[in-house]
This record gives sequence, C-alpha cells and structure tokens, in this order.
Amino acid sequence: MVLAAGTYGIQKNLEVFHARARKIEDLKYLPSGKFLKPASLGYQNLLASMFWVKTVGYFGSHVLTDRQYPYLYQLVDVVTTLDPLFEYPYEFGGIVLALEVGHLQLSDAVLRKGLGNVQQSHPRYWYLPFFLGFNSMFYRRDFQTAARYMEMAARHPGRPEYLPLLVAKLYAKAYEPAVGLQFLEEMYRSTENRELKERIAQRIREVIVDRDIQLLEKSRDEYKKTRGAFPESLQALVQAGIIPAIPREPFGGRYQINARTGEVFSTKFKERLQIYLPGEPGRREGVGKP
Amino acid sequence: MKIIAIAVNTFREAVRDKILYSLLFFALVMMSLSVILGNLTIGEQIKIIEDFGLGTISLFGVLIAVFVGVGLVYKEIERRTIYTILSKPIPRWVFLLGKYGGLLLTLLVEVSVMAAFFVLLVLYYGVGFDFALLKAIGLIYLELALITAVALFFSAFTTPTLSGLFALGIFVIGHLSSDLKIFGQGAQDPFISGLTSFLYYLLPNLENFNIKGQVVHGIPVPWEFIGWSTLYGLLYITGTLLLTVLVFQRRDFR
Repeated sequence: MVLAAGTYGIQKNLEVFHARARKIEDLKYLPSGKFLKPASLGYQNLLASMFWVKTVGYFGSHVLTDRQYPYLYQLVDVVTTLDPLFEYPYEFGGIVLALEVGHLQLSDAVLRKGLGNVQQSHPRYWYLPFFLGFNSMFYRRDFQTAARYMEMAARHPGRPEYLPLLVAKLYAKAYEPAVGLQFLEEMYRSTENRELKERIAQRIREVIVDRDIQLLEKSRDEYKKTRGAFPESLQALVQAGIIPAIPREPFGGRYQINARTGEVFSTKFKERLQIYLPGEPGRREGVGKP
Repeated sequence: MKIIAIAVNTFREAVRDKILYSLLFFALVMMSLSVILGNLTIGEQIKIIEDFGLGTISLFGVLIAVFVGVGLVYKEIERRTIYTILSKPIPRWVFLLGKYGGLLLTLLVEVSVMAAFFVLLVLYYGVGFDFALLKAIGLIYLELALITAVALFFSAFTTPTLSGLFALGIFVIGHLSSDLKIFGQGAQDPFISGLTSFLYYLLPNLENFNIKGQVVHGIPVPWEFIGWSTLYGLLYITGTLLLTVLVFQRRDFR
C-alpha cells in the first residue's frame, strides 16, 4: 500500500516535468515517411494508424489552445506516405491546412497527393477534387481551376446532386458568397471531428456576415443614388423598400451603418474575410515544408 | 507416427511455457486498445481496428515463433532428455520435424485465438466481415511458419539467445530485401550488384506474405498471388528444414 501510494505520488510529480517537456513538443524528431516506411518492417499500416491517432490528438489539443499547428503537415505527410490509400487524412489535412493554418499550398499539396494515391473507387474520393476546387474558388478566386476540379468531383458517382450545377456556375464565373456557403455546408456535413466542425461553422458564420454586408452595401449605394446621402440607419433601407428586412447577424450581434462614412459592419464580427492571393505563403509561420 | 508423437509432445511442452500466455495476453490487450483508439479518432474506425488486429497477429506471432521456437531443441539438450530420445530408434530428422510440427501446432492455436478475437471485434464494430481478412491471416501464418523454420535452423547449432537474435535479424532483413535489390541495381561495382542480388534471392522475401494493406483497403488480392506466395513459402521452409537436418545430423552431443 505504501509503495503503491509512493509510486502514485512520484508519478504525479513527474508529470509536471512531462508537461514542461511537452511544450518543446516531441514531434521535432518525427522522421519522414520515406524513412519510416521501410523501417516499419511490413507494419506500415499499423504505424500509419498510430500516427493518424496522434495527428487527430495533435489537432485536438492545439485547436483548443494556441491554434498553431507547425507539425500538422508533417504528420499528415507521414500518415499518407506510410499508408497512401488511407483517404481520410488527405481530406482532413486539406481542410485544416487551408482553414485553420491558412497555408493554401500545403493544403493543395496534401489533396493532390491524395488525388494520385487514393483509389478512384473509394466512396469519398470526390471530396479530394472538391476541396481542391474549394481552395481555388474560395481563397484564390480562380474560378477556371476551381471549375476544372469541381468537374472532376462531379464525375464521381458518390458526389451530391447539386455539384454539376455548381460547376456550371463556376464556368459562368458567377461567384456569389452563396456558392461558397454551399461548399462550406458540404464541408461541415462531411466532417466528423467535433473541433473541426466548430471551426467550419465559425467560417460559415463569417461568410454569412460577408454576404450580408455585401448585400447591405449594395442597397446602401442604391439608397445614396436616389437620395444623395447615406441612410441614417439600416432600418431606413427597409423603410425605403430596398430590402425586405435587415438580415439576422449569425454571431448574435447586429448590423449597423456609419451614417457619415457609409461603412456597414457587424457589432460582433469586425474583420472582413481575408481572400488569399495566389502565391501568398500563408498567414502563419512555421507550418513545415511542402 | 513418431513425428506426430513428438509434435504432440512438443505442443504440450510449449503450451506450458508462460511466455506464450503473456504474449497472447498483450496481443489481446493491444487489439482491444484499437477499439478505444478508433473511437478517439475520426473517419474509418474499422480501418484502425483492422490495422491493429492484423499487425498484432503478425507481430506477436513473430515474437512467439522466435521465443518459443529457439528454446525447444536447446532445452532437450540442456536437460539431457535428447539422449533418451535419440537412443531410441528415432532418426534425428524425425526428431527435428516432430519439433517443427509441434511448433506449427502451437502457432496455429495461438494465431487462431488471436484471429477469433479479431474477427469478433470486426464483426461487432464493422459493417460486415470481409473474407479477404482471412487470406491475410493465412499468409501471416505462412510467414510465421517460415520464421519458425529459420529459428529452428539456428537453434540446431547455437544458443537460444543467439538464435533468437539471428531469427529476428532474418525477419528484419526479410522485410527489407526488396530495398537490398534496389540498392544493388544502383551500384556501379558488378561485384556488389552481384552480391546483393545473390543475397536478395538467398534471403526470404517476407513482403511476399504481406497483404495486410491491400486487404484493409479492400483491394482484391488474386488467388494466383496467394498460390505463388504459398508455394514460395513452402519451398523456402523445405529448404531451411533440409539444411537444419544436415547441420543437426553432424552435431555431436556431449
């Protein structure tokens, strides 16, 4: 009993050290998949599964704390090199690297690797070109490329019904936030991870704010054209019959207008959506090499 | 008949070995762990369970094959029981083959226990049972049989510790041998490329028995491949056993 209590106490003490060491993060020594594959002695699938569990844990622990993921790409790369046929890591890596890390090139790299490796007969295969298309459309506004990927996704038997319609819209370069929302909602449906789902929901709300503000700005300009001044409040737009009602703000705030500058904004969500330009390396540093 | 008697006896002796049960216990623990890990992660939980299951069956099978395999002949010599056996009208090759048969039986029981547990897990958590998983387990068993033959070969002339190390070494090289070939093809020196290709064909290519990845992803494995792999395994085992008999025949027991 004494010994058991003793080891328990000592273990508790040691955990303080472990926690301190973990801040340095043991993933610094993660070897590349190319080395691990032969070293796994035929257990590459087992190893891939273990690293996959680690990847999900890594994401889960950082999404709730600092939201920095310097090793995420490397982890996904190791998993997908050890087991190239494992579809889900590509999908997960593709979403997280674009949405959370803000590194489009890495996201594309992961998804394209999946495009080449995963069997086309996999029921979720279409998600890979779908998310590649999403990256091109949503972040880069490159509708031509997006349409090409979406066409690829639309050819797959597992794809949703509305996809061919989207392709047509993309070819018409008719981008509206509504199209982006449709994609995000599909992404939300397809994701199982709770934390990631929450991040996507957040992004959906942001796009809704973006869409609403765009709409309100258009109505504001219309108002100004006829009356020569910005409206005093958004309610004036409704009274003028330009919009049926002020849209509901998804973050629980309200939309307001600055009568002097004409700026339309949300009381809860201040920043407008960032659009990534092609070739931009991403907002955060230290995300690993592509 | 004598072979069967020795085999049954060897089996009885092996199942008394505690190491067998501890390894089996850890194998089952590891497979159960995969259920928890599968729950923690996202997407294709069944894949995690299958990866862990097949990996565990193979990994612990190898450990059992080596650790139980290397000790059996040595124990007979150490306890001097080998004199009473070999003084009877039993040829040495019969003794060896009996030992090998007993080990195969032990492994068969052991793999069956693990496989049964695995099948239950897959049936419980999966959407259905893929018959191909049994193909993978069958080839794993063949690989184990080959490693056992190698372990027996080494244990015919050296100590259990050394033969255990040698057998594990062959296991490692057996999974790397295709790299050996690639290395040899890249070499400029004709001697080195000759040597590596000689070693490549001499050493067992254990990747021939590894269809775990294909099976988990539902890629069909043609029966033709399984047939050739089985034939390869059987030939290799026969060769190894012949060599073992040759070594064992000449050995002097004092």
